[in-house]
Amino acid sequence: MGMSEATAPTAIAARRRPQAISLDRLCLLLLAAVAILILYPIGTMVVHAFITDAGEAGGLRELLYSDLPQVLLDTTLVVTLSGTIALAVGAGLAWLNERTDARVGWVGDVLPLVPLLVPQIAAVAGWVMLLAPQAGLLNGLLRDLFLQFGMPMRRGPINVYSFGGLVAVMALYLVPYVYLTIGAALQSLDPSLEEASRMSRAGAFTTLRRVTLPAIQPALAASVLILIMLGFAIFSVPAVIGTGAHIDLLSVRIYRLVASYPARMDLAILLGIFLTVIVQAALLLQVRIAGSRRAATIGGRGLRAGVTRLGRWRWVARVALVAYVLASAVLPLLALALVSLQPFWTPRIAWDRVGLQNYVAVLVDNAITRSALGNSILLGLVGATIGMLIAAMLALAAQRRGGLFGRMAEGITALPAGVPHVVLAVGFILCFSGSGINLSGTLTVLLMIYLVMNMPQAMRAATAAVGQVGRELVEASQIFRATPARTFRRILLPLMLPSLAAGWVILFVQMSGELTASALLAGASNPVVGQVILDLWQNGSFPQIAALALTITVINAAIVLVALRAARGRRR
Amino acid sequence: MILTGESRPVQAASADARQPRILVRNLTKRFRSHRSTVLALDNVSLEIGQGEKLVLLGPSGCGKTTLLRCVAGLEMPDEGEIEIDGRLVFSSRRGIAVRPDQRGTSMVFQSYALWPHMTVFDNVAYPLTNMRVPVAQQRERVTAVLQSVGCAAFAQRYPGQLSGGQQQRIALARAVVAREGTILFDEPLSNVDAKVREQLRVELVALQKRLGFTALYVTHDQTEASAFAHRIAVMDMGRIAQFGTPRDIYARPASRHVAEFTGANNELEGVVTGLHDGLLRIDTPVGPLLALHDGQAGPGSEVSLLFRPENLRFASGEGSNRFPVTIESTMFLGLYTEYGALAGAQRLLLRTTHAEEVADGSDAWASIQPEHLGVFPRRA
Repeated sequence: MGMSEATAPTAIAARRRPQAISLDRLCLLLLAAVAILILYPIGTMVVHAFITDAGEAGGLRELLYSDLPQVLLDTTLVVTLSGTIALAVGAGLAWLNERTDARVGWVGDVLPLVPLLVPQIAAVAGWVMLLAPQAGLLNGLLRDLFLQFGMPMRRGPINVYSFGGLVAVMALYLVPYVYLTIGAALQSLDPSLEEASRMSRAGAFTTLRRVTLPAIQPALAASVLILIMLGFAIFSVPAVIGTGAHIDLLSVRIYRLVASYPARMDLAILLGIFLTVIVQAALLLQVRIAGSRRAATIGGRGLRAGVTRLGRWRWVARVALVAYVLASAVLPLLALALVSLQPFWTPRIAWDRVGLQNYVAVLVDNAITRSALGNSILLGLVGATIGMLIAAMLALAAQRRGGLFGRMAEGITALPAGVPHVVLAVGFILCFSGSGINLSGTLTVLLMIYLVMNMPQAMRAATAAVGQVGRELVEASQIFRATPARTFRRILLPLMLPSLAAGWVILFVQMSGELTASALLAGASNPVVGQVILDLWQNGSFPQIAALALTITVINAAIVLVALRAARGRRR
Repeated sequence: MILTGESRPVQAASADARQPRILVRNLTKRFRSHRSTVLALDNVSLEIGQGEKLVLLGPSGCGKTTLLRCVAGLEMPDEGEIEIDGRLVFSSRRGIAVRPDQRGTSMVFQSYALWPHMTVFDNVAYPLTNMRVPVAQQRERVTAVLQSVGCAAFAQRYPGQLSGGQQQRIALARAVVAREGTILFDEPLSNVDAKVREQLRVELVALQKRLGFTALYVTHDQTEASAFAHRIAVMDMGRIAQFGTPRDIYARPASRHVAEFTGANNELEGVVTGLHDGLLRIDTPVGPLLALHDGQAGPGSEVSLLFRPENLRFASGEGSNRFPVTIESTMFLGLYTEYGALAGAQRLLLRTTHAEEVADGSDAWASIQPEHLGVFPRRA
């Protein structure tokens, strides 16, 4: 298509502009929409706390005279204790699996995936079914064992509904986050540093203390902050176990203030802001450490780590590694399976009465659980897809345009990470169930809050996906005669797909098993799984809870495994 | 790079040999960040003939890669014009900027830029697929070109399974498979180890001779440039500092920068005291030296003398352009031996293929021919 010389410049200018601007405009619009969805609820809440209700300091006084100090003390104690345990166990497991001959290959693959494979609410339910003082399956076994030694018991010996139980179960589900951070640091730590220490006549323990630990200090600090963030924000464990033990943690207290009648939104907002400040501060510090750590990363990747020989301790270490996977994933799921197959939850399994009646009830007879499952899966599929699509477009635009747009996209999408889910839900109630826009109880508002809650993760995955495609790979495609559309289809998309798929899986799992915001925002006409499990808990139909929790777990696990498999198959 | 459109459809590849294949006129490119502006290309003009191998040589940041990327269409210049095969592909004045996929050039990237999700075969076939070459013909051409780079056995492997040298051969195959007349090379050998680099260099020269493509080649390695180039453009701070054959540039560097960059790393400072028979007489810390008149320096000028270690020789005794040195160190480097020599307070390098029996710490005489001394204005 030749072009006459006179018309060339204008024609090209005209052809260039519309395309470039419309794409840019779309991305700007998208960023604006995301910004509104994120900033509006958070902003409204801050305004309410400091302006609308500032006149009456009564709220604050009322809080102080209530049992709030007790709640704060309990929360701090539980977070500190469970965090300390999780740090020790997580770091220990990471070191065992990355640096010693106790390494168990599959544990390294499975452990970080536990939070994805087992929805938290299912895991918590599982542990209650194992260790409830009377009906707990494990307690039943222990009582039988004690009976052999002539010590009959009517309940116990372990009570999960206790301070200790709360701390232990929370620690159990915080471990993978520590493992992931420390494990990654150990992987990128040049093993020759440790070898040099060994060559300088230091023993294994001295090397660990004087070389390895100081080198991964930033990762340890980051882990502590992640633990603070998660520990204060976590809802499912205290909602189930804390309630049973009559210990209210901050996140659950906020939920109660909103869910009780009459709702005390003003108090919920004040506490919510307080909780957000703690979590956001931990997040900001953590980001700073992570940022400075990148500069200090040592050595090349792909180096085979030198192995510390543990001698006879090797088997003890291996048992510990396997025991963690058993405790975090296998045992609770086994408990769920056993309870779900029986008509009643008893520590003694009546093998002759085992059947699928609870699954029939949950999946067929009970309209609420049936529609909850359908809604959760639908929200998971739609939400994960929309979320990754938005994130991918923003990440691509941010990389291409950089500058202010890039920084805005990065900053705004990262914001929800520092806002506990229960607080975000309070903000959404303020904004979307008032007199103006009333979306309360609809799937739309759930989709919106799920998108906001998971935007940081979606963006992280999308940024990683974009970053994975080297600039020269795209340029080479342009040089070798591929049109921009073709470059996108044949080079960019296939290379980004594994990371995008990984992000999609995380989003799906988070959304389909979401509990916190759903408990406050889902209505009776549009139930979702997390909220229904919490409701059933209050009505005491445990075998049905078990059936529902196991069903959603199996669906999640299947999707995670299929997606991971597909992503791995694509790799060269 | 978003631009499209084709300019006047002038004669195709059958143009006569005197017509330059690539023509760069008054190209200027600035990189702006929010603080500062860097002038990456400063009014650069260049001509590359049919079948010519032109090398852009210079240190990092001199603008050589930017120039290459502007020709490829990956970078948008601020001012100037670029013509490829008589077709105007960029003109700031007339608002023309042809997209890279429509410029009809190929490129070999520094990082190989092989797509990890495609097999070697698919990588090489990619340009042909985009040109809508029939599948049967694609198969034939890809197989042939893979054979010619000795990689036919890897056709069904993925790039991640190959060594660096093999990957760069595949990248080369991909660049020649489309039979474009012009191939751009962006430091293609800098990522492979020394032994493979030498092999690839020889293969590259042979391949160019066989296929006759026009090559624009960017490197910071002077040996590589000399080995490959018909002509070299030495670049410095966004300009072409010297343009000539490898021999020219080696023998008569036009500026201090070119001299230093091409390996003249001995330096003596001096003052011109007179002019005799077209030779400058210069007083230096090691005594008076004669140098060829460069046409600029006159009596009283403060100058730097730059010369190569291989042009400094051992001499049998006193004489014109000779001075005493003390040998500090001896390094046997196989092909030649390098001596560290102290002339007064000045440390000089002397390189010779005839190993002399000179013990460290002993005194000797060194000589340098007037034509080997580069005379440049002293650095401010």
